[in-house]
Amino acid sequence: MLAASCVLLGAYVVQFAGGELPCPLCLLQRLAMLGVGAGAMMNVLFGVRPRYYGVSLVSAIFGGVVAGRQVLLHAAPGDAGFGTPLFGLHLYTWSFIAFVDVGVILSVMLFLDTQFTAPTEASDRLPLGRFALGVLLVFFAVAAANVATTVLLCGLGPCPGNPVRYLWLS
Amino acid sequence: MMAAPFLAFAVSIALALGGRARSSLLVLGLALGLSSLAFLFHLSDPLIIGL
Repeated sequence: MLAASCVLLGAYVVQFAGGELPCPLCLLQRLAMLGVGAGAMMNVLFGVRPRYYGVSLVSAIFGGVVAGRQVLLHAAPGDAGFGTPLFGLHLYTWSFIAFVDVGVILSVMLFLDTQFTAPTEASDRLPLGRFALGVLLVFFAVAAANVATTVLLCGLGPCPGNPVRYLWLS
Repeated sequence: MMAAPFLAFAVSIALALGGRARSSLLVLGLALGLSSLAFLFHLSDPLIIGL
C-alpha cells in the first residue's frame, strides 16, 4: 500500500513538476496501481485472506495489460515514445515492469499459506497502529486527489488522447 | 467519465476505513469493472503487432 502510494505520488511529481499530463492509458495504469494497493489495504484492515491478494493480482494483471499495450503502441523504430524517459525507459515501461514484479511477488505470497488463519467476521476491522493508519490515510488521499485531478483534466467526458491542458481550468 | 473508477476506488477505501469489508469489496469490483470498460473504450487503435 505504501509502495502503491509512492508510485502514485511519483506520478503526481511528473504531472505537476514535470508538466506532463497523463494520457488515458496512463490514468488506467494509475487505477491499476490503486487496485494493487486496495488489495493490500484489505489485508491490513480485515486480516490476510486469499481474496484480497486476488484483488491485487487482478489489478496487477490489468495494469500489465494496459502498460504492455502502451509499450507496443510506441514500439515501432523511430517512435519517440510518450513522455520523458526516466533512467532510459519511459514511465509506461517502468509501469509494465512494476506490474509484472507485483504479480510475481503476489504469486509467491499466495504460496505462503500458513499466513491464512481462520477467517474472522467480515466486518471485524483489525486494530491499527499509528503507522498503518497514516499509510491508509495517505492512500485514501492519493485516491481522492486522483478523482479531482482527473475531473480537472478530462471533465465529465472521455479523456483526450494526448492531453495538453486541463479541460476544466481552461 | 474517466473519473468514475477513481471515485469508486476512493469510496471503496472510505468504506474499508469505516469497517465495511463486504461493501468495500463490492465497490472495488465495480471500480475494476469500470476501469476495464474504460480500457475497452480506449482500444480504438489496432495493436502495433497487428493482433
